[in-house]
Amino acid sequence: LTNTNITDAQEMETIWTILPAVILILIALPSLRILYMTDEINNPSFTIKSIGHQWYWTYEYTDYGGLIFNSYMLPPLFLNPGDLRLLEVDNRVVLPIEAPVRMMITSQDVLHSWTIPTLGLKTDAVPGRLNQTMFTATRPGVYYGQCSEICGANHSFMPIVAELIP
Amino acid sequence: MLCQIITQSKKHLSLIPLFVFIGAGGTGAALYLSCLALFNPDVSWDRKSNPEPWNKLGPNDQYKFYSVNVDYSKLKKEGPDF
Repeated sequence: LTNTNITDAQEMETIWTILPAVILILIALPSLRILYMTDEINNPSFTIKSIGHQWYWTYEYTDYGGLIFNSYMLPPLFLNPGDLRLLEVDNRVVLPIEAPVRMMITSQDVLHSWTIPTLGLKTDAVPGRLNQTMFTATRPGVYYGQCSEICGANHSFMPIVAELIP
Repeated sequence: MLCQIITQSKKHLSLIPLFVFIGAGGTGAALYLSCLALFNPDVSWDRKSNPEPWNKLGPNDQYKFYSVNVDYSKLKKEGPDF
């Protein structure tokens, strides 16, 4: 550590301090801007409320008329061959594809979390608070998710199923 | 601490950009924290005269720190008037 070839290179040290710092700032500023842009809700065609309970979800379609229903997990005895255990529900959330859909998520009792991993969605359902998320699905199909915030005995038994139709 | 920073910077000039960036980062973090403590509607300091400031947010108030495209003060109501 006392070799003069490796000590006291002030210019080099200045450059390799300033240059990475500048590069990181240039990466960080647009990235933070984009992060705040992902929060924005731009002209949704459809708004649905999703209310978490112990241990089921309630969906309210109130844009055009008042459709409200509960979505309970299908117990294993009620499954048909080919159905997914612990994932199927009695009433699915039916949504259109290629349309921006806004989900307003809250809870009636304790914390829950409304999640559909394949659509990139995870939003906490907090009692007394209304959280909002938006997505635009491009492919029709059935999308599964499970409650993602510990909410009691049947936390693992309150799945979410979205049926996206053209 | 500041004395030490100045003494070391005089001895090794290449330390100056290091102290500048670290100082800027630390100051930024401290400023953001004070912004949150003083102005965030989720924080209540005075429980007698302003117990629940989060209940006072109107539909045209901006809650987020930085809004790129949306001007919250100009938002119009989407639903019908009852």
